[in-house]
Amino acid sequence: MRRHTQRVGFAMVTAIVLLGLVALTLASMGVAFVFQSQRTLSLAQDAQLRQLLLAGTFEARTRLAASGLDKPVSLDLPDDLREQGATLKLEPQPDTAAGQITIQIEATLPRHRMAQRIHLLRLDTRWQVISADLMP
Amino acid sequence: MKRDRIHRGGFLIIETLMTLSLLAFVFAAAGELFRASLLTCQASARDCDQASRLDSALLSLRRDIWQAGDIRVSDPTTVELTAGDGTKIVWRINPDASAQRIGPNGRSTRWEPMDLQLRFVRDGSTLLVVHSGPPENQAIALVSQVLIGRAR
Repeated sequence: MRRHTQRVGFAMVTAIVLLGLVALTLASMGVAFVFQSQRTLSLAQDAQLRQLLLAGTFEARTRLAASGLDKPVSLDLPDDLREQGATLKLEPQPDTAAGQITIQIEATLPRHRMAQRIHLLRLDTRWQVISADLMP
Repeated sequence: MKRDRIHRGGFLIIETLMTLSLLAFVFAAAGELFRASLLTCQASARDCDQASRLDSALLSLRRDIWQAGDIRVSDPTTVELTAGDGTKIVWRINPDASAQRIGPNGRSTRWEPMDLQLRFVRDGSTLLVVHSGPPENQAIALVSQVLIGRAR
């Protein structure tokens, strides 16, 4: 009777250890899966924000060439971006030399933001970017 | 009486052998499971480390490319960037697969070797960072805002 109890105990300990190993492996794979999914989401949002910044630069140059840009403006975005909660703002910075302008462009998504400051130089009727700084 | 004792002894040997073979089978399976668990944990940790290292290097390189007014790929493992204000930054993939950034003040930053083989390819206003995979020869495009903003 006692030997039978010992055997059951041994089998149970072995089974528990093996189940623990499986649980450890599953936990490790779960952590890796969560990390990779968060990374993918974050990289996708970063790419979207960079696209918005590039679009903002293009829009700023177009507006400067057409009618100027003297006050902050919030740009209209396509419906699918608006539904995601995206915004894009252009904000001209004061105190710049004649024929030059600095514009801060800010793109946001829920819980994510990216901004840059571009410095433009006027060449005849068009504006050229001479420097760009991504802001932290 | 004697015959009965011999019969019992034979039964015990067979029982012991069966138990031992069962134990051997269980321990072999447990050992394999243990090895697979360790390898999986190691592989997950290594993949996460590698991804973090690559992301960190790419974040810094992307920022440099973004403000670069000139991109010069002198060889597939070296790229020289000149910012709008004339400052120069060099990025290099070393033979040990580590990435190195040499800033405008000569300050060097190094990222530990990665399992990926990286190389640089210039494509207009974009620098392609081609890596050995998986999947093979996939390129990450890094855009220069200044070069795009200069175009008509």
